Amino acid sequence: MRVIVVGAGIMGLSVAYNLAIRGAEVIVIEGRYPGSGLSVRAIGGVHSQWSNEHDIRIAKRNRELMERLSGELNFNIPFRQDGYLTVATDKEQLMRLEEDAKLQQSLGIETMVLLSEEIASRYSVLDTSSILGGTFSKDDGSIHPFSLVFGYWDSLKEHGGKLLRPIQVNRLRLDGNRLSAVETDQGGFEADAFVLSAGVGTRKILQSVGLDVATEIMRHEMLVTEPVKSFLKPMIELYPQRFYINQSMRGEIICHMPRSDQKKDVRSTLNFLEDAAAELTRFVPSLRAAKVLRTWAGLVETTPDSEPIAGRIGYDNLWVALGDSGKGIMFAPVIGEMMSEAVMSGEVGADLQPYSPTRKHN
Amino acid sequence: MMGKKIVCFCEDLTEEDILEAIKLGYDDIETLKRYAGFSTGPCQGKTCLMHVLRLLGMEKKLKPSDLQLTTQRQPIDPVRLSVLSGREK
Repeated sequence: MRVIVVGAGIMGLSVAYNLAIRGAEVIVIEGRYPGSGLSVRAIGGVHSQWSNEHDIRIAKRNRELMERLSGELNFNIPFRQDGYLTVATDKEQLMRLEEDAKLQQSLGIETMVLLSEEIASRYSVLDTSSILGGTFSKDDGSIHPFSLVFGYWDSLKEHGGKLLRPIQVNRLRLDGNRLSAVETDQGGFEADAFVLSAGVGTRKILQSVGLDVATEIMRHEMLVTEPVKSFLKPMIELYPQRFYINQSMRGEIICHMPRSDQKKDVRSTLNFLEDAAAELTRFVPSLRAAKVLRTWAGLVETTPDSEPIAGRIGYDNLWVALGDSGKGIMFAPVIGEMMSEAVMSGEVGADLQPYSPTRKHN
Repeated sequence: MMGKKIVCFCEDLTEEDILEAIKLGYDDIETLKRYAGFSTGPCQGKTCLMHVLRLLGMEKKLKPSDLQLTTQRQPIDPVRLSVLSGREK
């Protein structure tokens, strides 16, 4: 079976690798360079503190996969399990976190609810004056996004797969009621099945055969400081999904904020730099002297129910994986596994159903 | 023993490290940067990028006009968070 995967982000590469180890002949077509859309812009947080049963089960499976991924891919992919701390600054947020924690615990995740004093005594570097409490899962943490991209790519090559770049995909070619090829600036590529995972470029390709999905673009901005001594163990999220802080293994502080402005490009803004610096120095006062090295931005595709889209769409041999709503890195290993099984067998498994492109959004 | 040719002081990378990465297939400047790690330290490419471009151009037999730069980002020089937050004291 020959499969074309369009887009060499973490999602496309995970699907491609999983197809290759199941015996498919895989060609990945990438418009720029591997990871160039969002994957290498992400800061790599990995956690299981979700609000619904399916996401929690997927996150649990994902963690198992990430724990053995370096060995499986024979590539060093640093996965740090120093814990993931979500903090609440108002009562409503805290109640929601406590409720979510109960569900997570019932599904075998070790989430702990911490009061403000407990957070203060565990992490003395944090100014907890505005924090009411939070949840902590000790086996979560962060993964290095570049290594994940390169690990899948490297292993794909080992299993006979190809990644061609840079090639621009223009449209899909129909032959009766099946897709027969992708048309590119370097000619047509024929295959038995097609997987589109080109991030924000995916919908344009779908539209070439009269299909579409509901996604919106949310801009995120990130910054990184010079390396400082390791002092911030867990990855920290200021609930609700407002602000993320992580210290990398070589000591840089990386932070990440979704932006609510209407801009749709990846240029950095001074506004973000000021907002992020204010939050960082308020929450981790000792960071006042740390210097910012670099800022960047990324476009996240979100869906109405904030769940990824992954499944078959429109034609028997057309599949999409997009709209990961910020869960791309966290769920890519699992979605790659589920999607590849579906593409090979032609049957959509029960665990993939909730991500169907044609589901009713809430 | 031959002397080492350091290309990137921030991340301690030699010419050999870069050539090895290019041979492994990390052979466009953006991918090479993320695999090898040059241009990501405190100098943000001011010391290393031109060396690496020269090596990449030689290995891939590219003309200088075919070489692309990585995206240059703000700030130009490192800035303290206290300055940006307005809490400089």
